[in-house]
Amino acid sequence: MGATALADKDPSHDWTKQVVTLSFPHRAAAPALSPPSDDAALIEESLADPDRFAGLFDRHADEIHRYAARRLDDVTTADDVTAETFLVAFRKRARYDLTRPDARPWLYGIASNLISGHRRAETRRLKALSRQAPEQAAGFEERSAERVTADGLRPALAAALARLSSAERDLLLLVAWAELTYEEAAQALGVPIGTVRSRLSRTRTKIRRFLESHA
Amino acid sequence: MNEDEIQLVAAVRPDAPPYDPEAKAAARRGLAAAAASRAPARPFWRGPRMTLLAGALAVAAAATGVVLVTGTGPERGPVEEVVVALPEIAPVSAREVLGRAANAATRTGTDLEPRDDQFIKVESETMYAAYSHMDADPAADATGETRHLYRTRRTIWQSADGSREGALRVEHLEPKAYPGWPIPEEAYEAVGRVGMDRLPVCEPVPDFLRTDHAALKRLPTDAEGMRAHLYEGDRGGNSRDEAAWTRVGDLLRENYLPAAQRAALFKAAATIPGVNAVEDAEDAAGRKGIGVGRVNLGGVREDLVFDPETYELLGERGVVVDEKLAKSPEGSLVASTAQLSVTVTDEAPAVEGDDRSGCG
Repeated sequence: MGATALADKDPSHDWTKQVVTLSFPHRAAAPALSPPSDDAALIEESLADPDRFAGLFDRHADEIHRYAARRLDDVTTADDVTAETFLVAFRKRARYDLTRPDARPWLYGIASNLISGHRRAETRRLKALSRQAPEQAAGFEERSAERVTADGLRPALAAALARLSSAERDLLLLVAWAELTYEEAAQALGVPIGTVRSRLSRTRTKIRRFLESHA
Repeated sequence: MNEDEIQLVAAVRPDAPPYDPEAKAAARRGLAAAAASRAPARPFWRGPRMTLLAGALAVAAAATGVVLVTGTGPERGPVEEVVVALPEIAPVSAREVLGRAANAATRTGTDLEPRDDQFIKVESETMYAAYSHMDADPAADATGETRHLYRTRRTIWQSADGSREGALRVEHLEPKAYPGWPIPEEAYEAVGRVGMDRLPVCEPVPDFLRTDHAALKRLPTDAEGMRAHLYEGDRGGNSRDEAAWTRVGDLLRENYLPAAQRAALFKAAATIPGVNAVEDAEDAAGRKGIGVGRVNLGGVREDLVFDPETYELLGERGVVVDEKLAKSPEGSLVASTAQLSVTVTDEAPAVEGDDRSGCG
C-alpha cells in the first residue's frame, strides 16, 4: 500500500508529485495540490505551470478509460488510448476554449479520434457484443423493458453499429454510452448542434431500418 | 418498432473492465514526464524504488564489512552484499529468518482485529529517493537529472474495508543527499510543511490488487496459496520475481496483515528467487534488525527489516549494490523507513477538499 501524495499547497512545488510517483507504485496518482474549481481554470494554470495538467488526468482519466474500454475489445488498447488522450490534450491545451468549465467533452472528442484509429479492436468489440449472451441471471422484474428488448436485439444492434460511418458511430456512442448531452457531443466533435441533431436522426433511421430487416 | 434506437444502443452498452492501477499510474507518469518537457531517461516506474541514507551513514556501512551472503540463489548468480553487519555473525538463510518470522506471527496472539467500519492507523518515518529533471539546476548532472533523498513523517488512516474515506498526514523533514549527488535547491522547499490529504473511496480494483484489510483477511493462509497470490497477474516490468517481492512489501507497508496471512506471506516470500538475509540491518528509527531482501534491476538491494527477537516488521531499507546501475557508490543507503505504530481507530480525521483524486 503506498502513499498518496505529499500534501503541498503551493503550485510551484510540483516536484513532490514526481517524488511520490517514483517511490510508491500504488496510490501514486494523488495530486499534491488543491485543484482549482473547474477544468478551464486548471488548464489555464497549466499554461504557465505544465505540471498542473496532471490534475485534469486525476479528475477524468477513469471516465475516459471507461469509455475507451467499452468501445475497444482489449483493455491494453483502452489503456493506450487513455494515456494518449491526455498527452494530446496536454499538447493542445493552449487552444482550449477557456469559456468551457467542463473539459470532458473536449477529452471525449480527442478519445473518439484515437478510438477511430483502432478499427480492428473496435470491430472485434462489436463482434463480441453480438455474441454476448443476455443476462439471464438477473431477475426478470429487475430489468428494464428496454433491456429486455435490447437483449434480444443485441446481435442485430451490434451489426447495425458496425455498419455506421465512424462519424455516426462516434456521435451515437458519445450520447448512448458516454451519456453526453447533444450540446456536449457537439463540443466533443467540434460540429454545430444542428449537425448533431441531423446526424443522430439519420443514424437512428439507419439503425431502425437495419433492425426491421434483420432482427 | 417503438423503442427509441438510442435507448436500445444504450441498453447494450458493454461493461467496462476496471482501469488497472498500474496502467493508470504509468499513464499519469507519462503525462508528468511530458509536462517536464523531456522524456524520462529510464522508465520512471521501474527505477530504484527505494532510496535512503545519508552519505556519512553510507560510508559507515561500507566500512563495516562486506559479507558474501548465500541465500536461495539470486537470479544473476551470487551477489556480494554490502551490509552493516557484525562480521562474526554467520549469515542465516532467508528461509530460516522468514520461518522464524512466520512462527512469531502466529505465536504472539495479539492480532489486531479491526471491524470493517474502523480504520487502521499507521505512523511511520520514511526516506526515499526523489529524481527530477531540472536542466537549469546547478545540482543537475549532464542529462539534467537531480537526485536527493526526501524524508517525511507520515500518519495514515485507511478504512479497513475500503468503504470509508481515509486520511494521510505528511510532515516534510530535512532532505539528505543521495550519495554522489548534490542536493538541489528544490529539495528544501517543502521542509517543515505539514499537509493533510483525503484518501477517497476508490472504485474497486481487481481482487488481487486490493490491500484493504478486509481483502487481506481473505488471502490464503498457506504458503503455496500466498505464493500464487504474489505472482498473480502481470504487473509489468521485467522481472516477475521482483514484482512478487515488491508485492510482499506492499502487503506489509502502512497496513496490518492478520497473523495467519502474515505467517503465510513470510513462508512464501522465502521462495522468491534471489531473496536472502543479512544479519545487521537498521531501520529509519535506528532500530537494529535482520534484513531480508533481494537486489532489484536498478542495482539496489531492497530489504524488509525484522526485529531480531520478535520478528516484527520494523521497516524497510534500500542499499546500493551495483554502483553503475544505481549511479551511486556501493553501500549507499538510498531508502529507509520505520513503521512506528499500528493501531485501530473508529474515525479518520475529516479533510476538506472536493477532488476525487488519489485512486489508482
